[in-house]
Amino acid sequence: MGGALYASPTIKQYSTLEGAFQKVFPNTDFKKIDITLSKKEKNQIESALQMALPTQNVELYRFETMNKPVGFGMVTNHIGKHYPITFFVATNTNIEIKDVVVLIYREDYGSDVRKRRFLKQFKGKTIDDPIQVNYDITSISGATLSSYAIANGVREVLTIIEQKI
Amino acid sequence: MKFKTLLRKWHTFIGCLILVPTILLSLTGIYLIQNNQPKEALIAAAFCGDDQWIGVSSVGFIGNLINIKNPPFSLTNIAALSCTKDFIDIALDYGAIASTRRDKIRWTFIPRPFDNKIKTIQRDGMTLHVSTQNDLWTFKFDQWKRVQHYPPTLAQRIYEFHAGWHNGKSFEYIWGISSTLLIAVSLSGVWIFIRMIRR
Repeated sequence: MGGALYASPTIKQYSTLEGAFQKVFPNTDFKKIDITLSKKEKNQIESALQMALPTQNVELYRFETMNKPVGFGMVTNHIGKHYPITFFVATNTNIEIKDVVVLIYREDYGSDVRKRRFLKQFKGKTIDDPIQVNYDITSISGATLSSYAIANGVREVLTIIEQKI
Repeated sequence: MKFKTLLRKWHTFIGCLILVPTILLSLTGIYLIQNNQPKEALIAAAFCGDDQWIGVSSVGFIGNLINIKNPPFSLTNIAALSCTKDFIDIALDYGAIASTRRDKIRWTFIPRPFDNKIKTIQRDGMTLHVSTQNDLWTFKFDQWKRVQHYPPTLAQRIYEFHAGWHNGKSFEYIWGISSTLLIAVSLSGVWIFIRMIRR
């Protein structure tokens, strides 16, 4: 709305990465997996998403209890209005969304997308679901662009995990 | 202090507190009602230069170039669009610019360093030209450059203020609190009035 040039972002950290891990996968160990997507894989993922991936390098996390995998997760960044929203998307071993945790929100407005009432809509979603605002996801009033950003990120993470795990 | 006296004091205190924001909100609201413009059915459209065109209406994409499925942005939030033989660029209301090649739909979002609503967007090779109500901008090699600036009009300033914005910062919560208190003070006023006429 309105003003001319906007100022530097108001950075609000709602959770640390470790805090998000603990919240979604309590009492588990995790391993970071660095993956470099081949051009073909990147192209396949981009084609499925109809969105460009910023890089071929992705960092996945595998969560384990007594060496048995219990889920996967990835941190992603998607532009809300002007700045990227940083959030952690976690799946169970069936690649169904277990939870989404907003880590850093940088806009002045629309941070309600971090709240449970919005994020709980993603629980149980799989790659076969549309995960589209106005289809199976209801946006937050006054935070439409941020709602789309979260939905885009969840779809991206599901597609990457489905492809690489 | 008796409950009735306390209630009257509270009523007066809150009434005085919300008086100024309520008057401001009412005045700017009246101004906006008188200057309101209807939202058009065709939100944006562009010709691509190869006998193809693309548009966005209130129901979705239209035109003879509709290979876009499930775009990762809100169609109702589109402010302007541009189409060339190679690219489609879509400016979102107050948000980033979504850009893709035509032969391979891969949306990327270009953040912008200004907050005004985009009126027109035009691509010339790898350069984007963008106009807002107050500025002309170009985007080239990941850099935004303001070409021209026109100061906002009084109507623009009043509209922003009414919507709860000043210098790009939101103070909408003040309107929200004032509205809630206004409802509470109205209800307590009605209660006081009913008790008074019963006596």
